[in-house]
Formats: sequence, structure tokens, C-alpha cells
Amino acid sequence: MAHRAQREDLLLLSDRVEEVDALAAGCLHNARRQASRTGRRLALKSPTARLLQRLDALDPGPDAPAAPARPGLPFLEAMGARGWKWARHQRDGAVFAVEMIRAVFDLAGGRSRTWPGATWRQLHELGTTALPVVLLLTGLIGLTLALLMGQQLAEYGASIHLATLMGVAFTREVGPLLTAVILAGRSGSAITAELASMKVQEEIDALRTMGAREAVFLVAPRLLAMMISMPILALFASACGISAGLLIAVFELGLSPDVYLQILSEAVVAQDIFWILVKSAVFAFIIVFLACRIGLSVHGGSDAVGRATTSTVVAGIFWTIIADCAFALVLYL
Amino acid sequence: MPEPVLSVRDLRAGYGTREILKKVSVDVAPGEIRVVLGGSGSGKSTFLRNVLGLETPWSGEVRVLGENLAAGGHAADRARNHLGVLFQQGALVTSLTVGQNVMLPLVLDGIRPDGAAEEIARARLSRVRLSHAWGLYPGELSGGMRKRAALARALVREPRILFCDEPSAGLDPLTSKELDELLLELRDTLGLSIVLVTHELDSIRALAEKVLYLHLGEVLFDGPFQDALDHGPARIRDFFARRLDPADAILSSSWEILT
Ligand SMILES: Nc1ncnc2c1ncn2[C@@H]1O[C@H](COP(=O)(O)OP(=O)(O)O)[C@@H](O)[C@H]1O
Ligand SMILES: [Mg+2]
Repeated sequence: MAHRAQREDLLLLSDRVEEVDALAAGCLHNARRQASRTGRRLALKSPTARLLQRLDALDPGPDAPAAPARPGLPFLEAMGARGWKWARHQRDGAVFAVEMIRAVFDLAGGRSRTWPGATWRQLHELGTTALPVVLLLTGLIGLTLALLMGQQLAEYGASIHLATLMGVAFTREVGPLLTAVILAGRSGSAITAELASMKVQEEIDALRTMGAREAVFLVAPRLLAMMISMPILALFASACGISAGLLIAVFELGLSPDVYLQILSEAVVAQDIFWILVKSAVFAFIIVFLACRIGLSVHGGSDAVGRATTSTVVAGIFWTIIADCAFALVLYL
Repeated sequence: MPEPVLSVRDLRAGYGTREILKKVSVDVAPGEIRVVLGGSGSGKSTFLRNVLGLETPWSGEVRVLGENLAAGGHAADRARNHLGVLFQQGALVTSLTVGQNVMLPLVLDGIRPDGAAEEIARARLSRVRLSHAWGLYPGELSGGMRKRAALARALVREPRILFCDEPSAGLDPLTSKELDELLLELRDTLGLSIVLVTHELDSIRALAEKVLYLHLGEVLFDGPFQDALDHGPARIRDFFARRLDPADAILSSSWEILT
């Protein structure tokens, strides 16, 4: 693919090259250095922006100062640098969280704008369309748990308490948590993928030059939509799990539905419902915070979008579970 | 000389601790087409991003219609409304239709996306000969159409200066020529100033009145295109010679020379 023209310049027909991996970029970079050392030049035919970008990334720059030899304690210095970086990351996170909350108020107060109806649209995309999968999965988990617990309880002649266990488990733990995990995977990754690809394609830059604030234009509608829809989904999820328990109680354990509902109403109190809503709203905030922050901090090409999406799912599930444990400690210990 | 619409003084900028632009100054007059040239990595995009406020300059001054953008406040915000930008791939918002994209700057100013806003947007779209694409999504457009739609969006607030970063990148020569003609027409009818980064020799020949040549973050030449050809610094004459010289035809305008 390379040939020589006059002047001994090295020419590369790179116009068909769509993607370069690190190795190819390294080879090109070397060729360029060698050429310049021998007073020749390396020319690329219609290189893609991506190719130039990769080459630039390898270029230390004309005035990059050689790293000065640093005297002193390298270990302490490395620890210090790492700690400093960590602290800055946390601070930026806090700033982002505050900005998210401010954005919601600015949007509500009309001080800054998004596309009309954006929140409704997100409510549909992030909330309504998640309902079937949430119901299906909580229903299946409900059936499984009820079956296992029901058999144990039956051995002790305590089948009647299946209603207590299912009520407590699904309102206090399984309903909100399972909903959050499903939405972290489904809606969290969707948010990150969308924002990251907007970032990569300069859509976010374009919005900024038009005077939009991405926290208001993009983040606030998603935050509102998730904080509204997730508590509602969690209620549905809890109800669905508990109903699955009812099926097992009636058809497997031979209880009457009236008794199940009677025991259930004694086990589940209004406070439990309240905490479903609060917990789910907090989970929603965590998921949207992570999804937006990770999505908006992407830079590079489309491969970065995929990696960002994965880290949103992992971080979303991780922090949701941590928050869930914190709630359990505070509420029930 | 009329008061410049854009005046950049001693702009220093970079990423992290790495300095990219060292004291760049330039004035752009009303109705002028200014082409920013330079090898790959010479800081052309960085220059545009700092002028547009997408990055914060380390020091120096960017004045649009006399207002210092760095000073902030309402005057700076109003001045910023006089800037329109055409990004390389168009950067249309994918979840909105072409019509909605064109109305977007107005919506951000608090105008409802119907009635008057729609009328203005349709007028802009017909100016870039894209009326038929009103209801399509960006994903349904070709590269050239996407750029024309983005151009309509950039024009909807009636900016005084239009910035374009390599508008012909990724376009075939014919489409690219049409885009150049469109830019010229817009300058002539609207009196826009245009600041344009390009590599394409054809575009440079068609559009360049004055050029700004950046090299390693410094201004190597600032003046009329013809002067640059006739008696600019050796590096610039070399830059064009390699692109103009028929004997060197293989190094046509589509070649990127890494120095
Ligand atoms: N976001 C960024 N972070 C760090 N360095 C960057 C970034 N963008 C560009 N650079 C570097 O700045 C230099 C100038 O880049 P750029 O302004 O894009 O050049 P040009 O547009 O003239 O090709 C390059 O060496 C590039 O590697
Ligand atoms: Mg560039």
C-alpha cells in the first residue's frame, strides 16, 4: 500500500483505511519519525479524522518537556498524586450532583430550557416500556421464593406465614432492589449510550454553542422521569411478587386467598409503602447520576461508548446495593 | 477599516498543562471569509473551540462585536448569540427531526416550536435547499444533507459570524463544491463573516480571501491569500506548492502531510 514518489517522500494510500489499531498507529508513528529524521516526509491520502487523531495521540507534541527526573520519595509522591486525583474526582462528582439538582429547579422555573415534552418522552422510554420486564422478573422471582419458603414453612405447619414473609421481603427489599437492578441495566445503559454517542459526535458541543446547558437539556428530563417512574415501578414490582406468593399459597399450600390477604395486611404497614417510594427515588437518582456522569465524560471514538455503557451498569448495580444496605441498617437495625 | 466582528488578542490555550496556542491574534472584518490553515495538529480546532467558549482560554481576549466573551454576563451572552457553528459531522441532535433541529436555537431562546419559529426554520431550510427534509431524522440524511441542515440550524439566529471546522471532510468533491458555493452565497446575501478551517485545495481557492496560517500554535502568516502565495514565508509557499504543483499531482489536495 506504500510507494515512493519523487523527493523520496513516503506515501501511504490511507483513503480506504477506516480503523487503525494501536499497533498500526504505532507503526505509522515510527515511520513518520524515521522519515523526519532522514529529512523525508510521510504523506497520507485522505486520512480519516480518526486516523489523524490516533497519530496525534502518539505525538508527544513539539514542546512537550522531557519529564524531569524527580528527586525525593517516589512512593509517597505517587500516593499523594493518586490521593489528589481521587479527591478531585469526588469533588467533581459532588459538583455534578448539585448541578443536576439545580438543573431540575432551573427547568421547572423556566430559567433554562429543554425541548418541550422531553420529560414525557423520557418517562415513556425509561419508565413505561420497562414495566413488562419488571413485572415478569419480579413475578418469576416471587414464584420461586414463595415455592421454596412455602415448602419449608409447611414442614413446621406454618404455611400461613408465607404471607408475612412475602409481604416483608417484597416491600422492604426485593421489590425496590430488583426494580433498581433491572433499570440500572436497562435505562442506565440506555442513558449512557445515548449521551456518550452525543458527546462523541459533538452534539453536546453544538448544544453548548447554542446556549443550552446539558444538565438542563439532557440530564434533568431523565432524572425527573426516572425519579417519578421508578417508585411506581417498584410498587408494581412488590405487588406482583406478593401476588405470585398468593398463587403458591393457594395452589401449592392449599390456603384460602382471604387468609393470605388477611395475614398480609397485618404484616405490611403504610410505612413500608412510604419507604418503597423513598428508596426507589434515591436509587433512581444514583443510577441517573452515574449514567449521565459516565456518558458525558466519554471522549474518543465509538469504542469508548461501549466501555462507558458497561461501566454504568456495573457501577449502577454496585452503588444501588450499597445504598440498599445503608437503608436496611438505618431503618431496621 | 470597519470595526472587526471578531477580534482575538494574544490567545493562549491548551489542554491540561500542554500549551497548544501561543499568543494568537487575529481580526475578522464584517463579510470577510477567513480560512484557517495549518498542518494537522497545529491547533486549528483548538483555536475554534477557544473562540467559541467550548474551552476556556488560558489568557488573552476574544471580542465579538466589541464584547469580551470571557467577561461573562448578559452582554457576553448576547454577543455569543451572534456566533453560528457548523460542526464537522453536522452534530444534529439525533432524537429530533431536521425541522426540530433547525428550530432548536429558537426554542432555547424561549420561543415555542410552532407558528413563527416554524416559519423562520422553514425559510432557513429552503435557503439551504432542504425544504423536503423537514420531517426526516438526521439518521435518514446523507452526509451532505446533514451538513446543509446543520448550516440551516447555525443560521437560524441570524449570526454575524459562522465558524466551520473542515466542512468538506467526508464529502465527495461535487457535494463539497456545492457546500462551498452555498457558503459564498450566504456571505453575499447575508453579509456573514465566515471563519473556516479546511484542507481542501479547491475550497481554499474558491473561498479564501484572507488566510490565517497556524504553525505549532503560532501565527505564521495573517493576510490576503494571494500575498501568502506570492511572498509568504517559505513554509506556506511550500504548503501550497505541494498542493498546487501539477508535477506533484499525486500529492493532491486530499493528501495530509505529516511534518
Ligand atoms: N481534547 C484534547 N485533549 C488533549 N489534547 C488535545 C485535545 N484535542 C486536541 N489535542 C491536541 O492538541 C493539538 C492540536 O490539535 P487540534 O487543534 O485538533 O489540531 P488541528 O485541528 O489543527 O489538526 C494536537 O496535538 C492534539 O493532539
Ligand atoms: Mg482539527
